Order: sequence, then C-alpha cells, then structure tokens
Amino acid sequence: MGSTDHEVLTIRGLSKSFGDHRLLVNVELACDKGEIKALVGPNGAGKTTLFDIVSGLTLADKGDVLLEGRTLVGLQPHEIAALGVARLFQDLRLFENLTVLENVLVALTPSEDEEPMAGLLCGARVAAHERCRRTKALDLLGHVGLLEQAHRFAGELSSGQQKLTALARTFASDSGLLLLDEPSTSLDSDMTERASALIRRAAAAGTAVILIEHDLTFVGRVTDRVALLNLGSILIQGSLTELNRGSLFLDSFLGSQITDSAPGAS
Amino acid sequence: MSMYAAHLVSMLSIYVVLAASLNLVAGYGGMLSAAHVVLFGVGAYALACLTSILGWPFLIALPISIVAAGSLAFVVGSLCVRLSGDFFLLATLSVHVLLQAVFANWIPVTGGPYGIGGIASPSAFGWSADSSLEKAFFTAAAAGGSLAILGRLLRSPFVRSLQAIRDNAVAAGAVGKDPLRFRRRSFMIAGAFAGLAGALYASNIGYIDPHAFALDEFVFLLAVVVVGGAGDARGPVVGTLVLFLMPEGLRLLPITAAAAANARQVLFGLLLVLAMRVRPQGLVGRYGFN
Amino acid sequence: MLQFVFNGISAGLGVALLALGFALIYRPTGVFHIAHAAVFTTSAYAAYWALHVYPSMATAGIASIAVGCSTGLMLEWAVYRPLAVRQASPLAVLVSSFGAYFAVVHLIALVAGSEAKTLGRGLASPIRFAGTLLTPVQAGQAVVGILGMLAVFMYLRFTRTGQWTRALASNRTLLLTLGVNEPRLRALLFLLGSSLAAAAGLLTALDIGIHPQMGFGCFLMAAVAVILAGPDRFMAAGWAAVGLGVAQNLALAVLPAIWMDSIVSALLLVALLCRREALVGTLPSLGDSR
Repeated sequence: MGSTDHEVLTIRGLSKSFGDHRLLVNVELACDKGEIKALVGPNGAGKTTLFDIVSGLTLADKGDVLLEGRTLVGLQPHEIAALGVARLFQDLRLFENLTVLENVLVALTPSEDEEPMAGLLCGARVAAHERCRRTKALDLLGHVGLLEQAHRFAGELSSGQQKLTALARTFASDSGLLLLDEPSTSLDSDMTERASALIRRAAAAGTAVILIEHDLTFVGRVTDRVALLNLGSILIQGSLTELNRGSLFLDSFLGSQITDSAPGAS
Repeated sequence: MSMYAAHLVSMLSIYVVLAASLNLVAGYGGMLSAAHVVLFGVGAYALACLTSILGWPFLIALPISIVAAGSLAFVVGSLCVRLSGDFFLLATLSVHVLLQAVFANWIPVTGGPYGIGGIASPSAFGWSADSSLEKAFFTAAAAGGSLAILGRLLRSPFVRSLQAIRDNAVAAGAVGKDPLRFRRRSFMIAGAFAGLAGALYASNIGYIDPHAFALDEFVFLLAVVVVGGAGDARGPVVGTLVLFLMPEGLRLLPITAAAAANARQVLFGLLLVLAMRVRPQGLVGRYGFN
Repeated sequence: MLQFVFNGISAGLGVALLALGFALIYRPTGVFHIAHAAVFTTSAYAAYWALHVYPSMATAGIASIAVGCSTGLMLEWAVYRPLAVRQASPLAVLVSSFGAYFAVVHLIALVAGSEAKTLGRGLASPIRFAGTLLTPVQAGQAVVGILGMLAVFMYLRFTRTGQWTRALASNRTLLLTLGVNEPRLRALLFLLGSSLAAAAGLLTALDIGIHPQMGFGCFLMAAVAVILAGPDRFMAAGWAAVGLGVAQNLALAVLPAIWMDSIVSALLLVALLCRREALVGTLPSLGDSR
C-alpha cells in the first residue's frame, strides 16, 4: 500500500509490545487531506499509544509512520510538531502556571521570535509580531468561548474550560495533521458544538484529523469515517452508519472477546 | 548615609541580581541548580584575577568575568539539562563541589584558602568608586541596569516558552519547542548574570575567599527565591529584602556571631520546608514548584 | 597497595550502610531524601555524646539508632508525608529535603558547636590482617557493614514487607491496588533506612570523629552508589559503595587528599550522564508514573 498524493498520514505495519503484552499488532492506518477519521475501541486497546508513536513520544518495535511520505520514526517530538503535527492530549497537559492566552501564544510563536536576544535587539519587529499573535489568539479564544478567561491561569479553570484551552492551543497553529485524544470529554453541549465546529473548520481547510473518541454521538457529528482498534489491531475501517448495523462492531466496542477479525471495506 | 547603610545597599543590589538569575533557571525554568553560587564565584574570581593579579582595568575585566561565568554555565548546562529534577540537582551539586575544590586548591590562580585581596574598586575612565557611598551608587546603578535587561527578557516569548517547558515539557514539545535548547540558553544567561553579580561583589568588598561561595550561600539564595516568589520578576527583590533584613534582628540578640550565623542557616532551611508545605509560590510568586 | 584496598573495603562497607539506607527510602517511595545525610549526622553526634557520658559501645549504639530513627521518622511525618498527601511534585520534595538537611545540621552546630571533634580512638592498637594494618574501628566497620548488607538482603528476600518494598520500587500503583497500607510501609522504610544511616554514623564517629558537615561527602558517595546500581536495585547499591570506597582509596595513592570529595563528585557527574534513568527526554516507558 503506497501513499498517494492526498495521504497525509500513513501508518504501516506498526507493532509495539510492552514486556509480554502486545499492545499494537501490525497496525495499518491512513488519513487523507481534509479527512476526519475517528479511532474507536475499548480502553486499553492501544489508541493513545498509537498517538504517542506518531508524535514521537514512544518508539514502535516495528513499522513505519509517514507524514506526506516522510518518515517520522526517530524524530524528536518537537521536530515532528514543527512538521505540522498538532496534538490534543487525553490528560490535557496544559501549562498550568501560564494564562489561557499565554497557553495559546506559546503554540503560535515560531522559533525565530524565541531567541533570547530577539527582544533586546530587534525589539520593534518582535513587538509587532507579538501584537499580531495576540489578536489571532484572542480571536481563537473567542471562537471557543474563553475570551473572558483569557487572563486567568490555566490551572484555575474548570475541567470544561481547561479542555477548551487545550483545544484552542491545539488548533492555534496551522497544522497538516491533528491528533485529538478524546476532544469531547468534560465538555457540556454548548462547548461540544464549538469543538466540533473547530474540527470541521480545520478539515475544510485541508487538515487531516484523527480523533480518539468514546462518544459515538460526537463522532457522528463530525465524520462518518471510523476505524476500530481492539486487541492491538485495526479490526474494521469504514463508514459509521454501515458499521453500526453490524454486530461485530458493537460487540467489539462493548468489549466482549473477538475470536475472528474480519477486515472490512476501507 | 552611614558606611553601614551604604554597604547594605551595595550588598542588597548584588544579591538581588544573583537571586534574579537563580529565579530565571529555577523559577522560570524549573531547574533547581546548585551550581549557581560557584558561577557567582567564577565571576568574582575572574574579576579578582584580572584586576588584582594582572592589573587590568575594571571596565575590561567586568565583561570578561561575565563571559567567563556564562561560558562555564553553557558547558555545565549543555551536559546537565538533559537530566531530570533529582539528578539535575545532584549533578549541579557535583559541579559545586568540584569548583569549590578549584577555588580552594588552585593556589597560583585563586590564592587557595587565603583568597585574593587588594581587588580594585569599580572604576571607569579615571573615576573610581572608592568610598562606600560611591560604591553603593555604582553597584545600585549596575544592578538596576541588569534587572532592567533581565526584566525585559522575562517578558519575552523566549521566557514564555521556557515557562511552558517548565510546566509541561511534553506538551511544549508537542507545540514545537525543544526543551533542551531553551533550558541550555536560559542556564547560560543566568550564569552570566550570576557572574556579573560576582564581579560586582569582588570589586565591592576588595577581598574574596572560597568561604563566600560555600553551599550555605546557596541555601540563602534558594530561600530568597522561594520565599520572595519563584517565577515572578518581583520575587527576588522582595525575597532579598525580607531575608536580608529578617536576620538583622538576630544581631540584637545576646548571642555570639557564630551562633547567629548558624541560627540564620536554620532559619533559611526551615523557611524552605515551610514554604513548600504552606505556600510554595512564596510571597509574590507565580510558580509553586508543581 | 593491599593496604589501600582494605582501607577502601572498610570505608566502602561503611558507605554501603548509608547507601542501602538511602536506597530503601528512595527507590520505593521516590523521595530523594537528601536529609538522610542529616540523619547520619545526628546519629553520629548522639553516639559521640553517649560515649562521653558512658563509655560503652552498646549504649552508643542504642543512642545513635534511637536518635537517627527519631530524626528520620520526624522528617517523614513533618516534611515528606504532608507533601505526599498533597501530591506535591518531586521538585517541591527536593527543595524541602534540602532545606531540612540544612536546618537540622545547623541546629546541631548551634547546639554542639561547629568545630570538629574526635574520640581519639583511631589511634588504638591496630590489628594485623593479611599483611595489612587495620584499626579496630575499621575492622568493626567492615563487620557491621557486612552484617548490615546481609540483614537488608534477608529483609528484602524473605520478609513479606520486604517483598512489598521491592514491589513498591518497581510498580507503585499495582501495589496500592493490593491494599497495602502505604503510610505504614513508608514509616517502616524510613525506620529501616535511618537505622542503617545511624550505624554508619556511629562507625564514622568512632573512626574519624564528628563535625556538622560530615554527612555531605558521605551522602554524595552513597548517592553515586545508588544511582550506579540503577532503578529497582538495592543490594547492588551496597556493592557499588564498596567499589567506590576502594576506588577512592586507591586514588589516594596518587592524588593528594584534598581532592577526595572532588573525585566522588566527578564520578557522580559521570554516573548521572551515563545512566539512562537520569535522562529526561529519553522515550518514556508506558505506565511511567514518576
């Protein structure tokens, strides 16, 4: 299976074991430009590990991860991020002692403006860039409904607000690939709508989006493409509506044992 | 202004700069570095050697001392910033022990246990700050300038990302920041400022020996940063004022000087424990070592 | 030559006690107990005082262990446990431990004076052993060291709590789900670790004497040993300590004694930079809670 022009993320033959426990077994997954794909499956199936491997936090035992044809294996996490991969963590990992606005600004600032001497020597230019970034950040915070919280410390917010901050930070920079780990948890219905709007907007702009989700209703609101990961393998990929009709999908999702795996139509 | 008061102003100015530099690595960078006092020492010894032994003018010796401390900080930082918290402290502690040994034993250069004396006062273009009052003015001005520069740095995108790395290095990596690069650079900059403080110290007192750069000084410095408040530009100022003036009260008690010195150290140690227990972000700080 | 090796083994066995004590606390609880050095020092002072009051080794032993364990438990209950309950970060624990060490050590200096004191026993009649001369204290140190290592080995291997200790070191969350009473296990570990430190303190008091900073150098060596041994390792720390003792004493054959601490520090730096567990930014293993 080669990568096409439209494919942003290509995962081939990915395997990872932790001691005796085989977490991921020969996983194959792809995501195209502008495609939103949901990765579903019971807890402990290895979904977050998959994200960890793609974003460079863990090494796979075997297999390859390609971003627009370029291998990500062996790159440092910040190098992968610089290539246009953005991630929402399941446990958020906010910068708790920074304000909401600063959390977003960090994601928006390119490395040229982060030289220690930059502020001292090219003060005016950096200041101009900063003003530009602030406007952009406040605009984004407005989109997620956090404008009033902009100057509060991220650590002091409610869990829903923290989730929105994390989302804003993830969507701040222009990324080619978005890895969202449970974007809808902790969000009330209004916030959920804002989150799904952000996701749809990013995909419309050409970003490939992969979400890990348990809430199938939320999944249904943003996309029809799902991949089911259970017992370390992608068991089925396909359309949500089609799969909902098959009991294999529901059984697997509810966690009962699967003795045979039937690769479905991609 | 009495000589005592002028001397106090000089010392306060020097320690505020030193505390501010530790605040950069520990408060903003989240790196607990025990090597800071010897970096202060490197600056002091460099200035002392250049002016006292080689006879170079102050205005030339000062920048060289700053560069010396900064360079050493760069080397130490490059080696150590990849280490996690506990081990980073241990590693910098080793650096402290090693440099202390150099200060105390490299007699031809550092004068060994007897130190270096006769260090010239700060001077520039023929004018020399000889009296306590002149020294106080000069040192306060130098400190003010340093704090202004440091203050600007603390508000820059560089330090904002440094704080992000402090709060969550993994998430910072996920938005494109290389934790090691930021930590290395901030460690080097902090070292340079510590060296500056050291050079000011040497030329102010006129005499230095290894005792001034012992680990006891580090406990004081850490207490200043923690009690004043880590991660906030005002912290070092508040902390230095409080911790300089608080033990002055001990002078009034009928105890020996040695006992007072030990009592001060007990106080600083207890303040550290208490702060972590009750108010880790100190008086005006933003960062609670969490 | 053999003399240096035997001196080294004896000294190393003394450090092994301190290292094993530290490992018993650090590996299972994750607390980087720098104040362990203070426990060592208080025990040594207690032994010294006991011997002055009543010249019996038994009472000295009891005094040092009693004081050492009390100090250790006090530190756990007053400093570490409250931080653990609050789920404070390792950095906050480190700052507290550091502060506690200084507070305790300077309190000792305040009460008992800052100068070094000896018991004059180092000059007692030497024993001939395999062509070398050993003082009775060195021989005693070796014996106690071996007994201590044996005791720790048997504790970890054959007792139920010992097995929990090893389990806690490798997988904390799993152990807690089994319903083990963590506060009590921690208290026990501090008790055991402090007893070992007390034994080391007593022996050092007999051998070299006491002074307030005595714990620092010994602790550094113990820390090197524990780090060299690696994560989840206990007995290996003891062996590493013996090895370090020998290495340090062999180095004495060629280098002047003033560089002793520096050698240990340099070794520590090398150990830290080479040990994978110390590095941050290496790919973390799954299920890493620390």
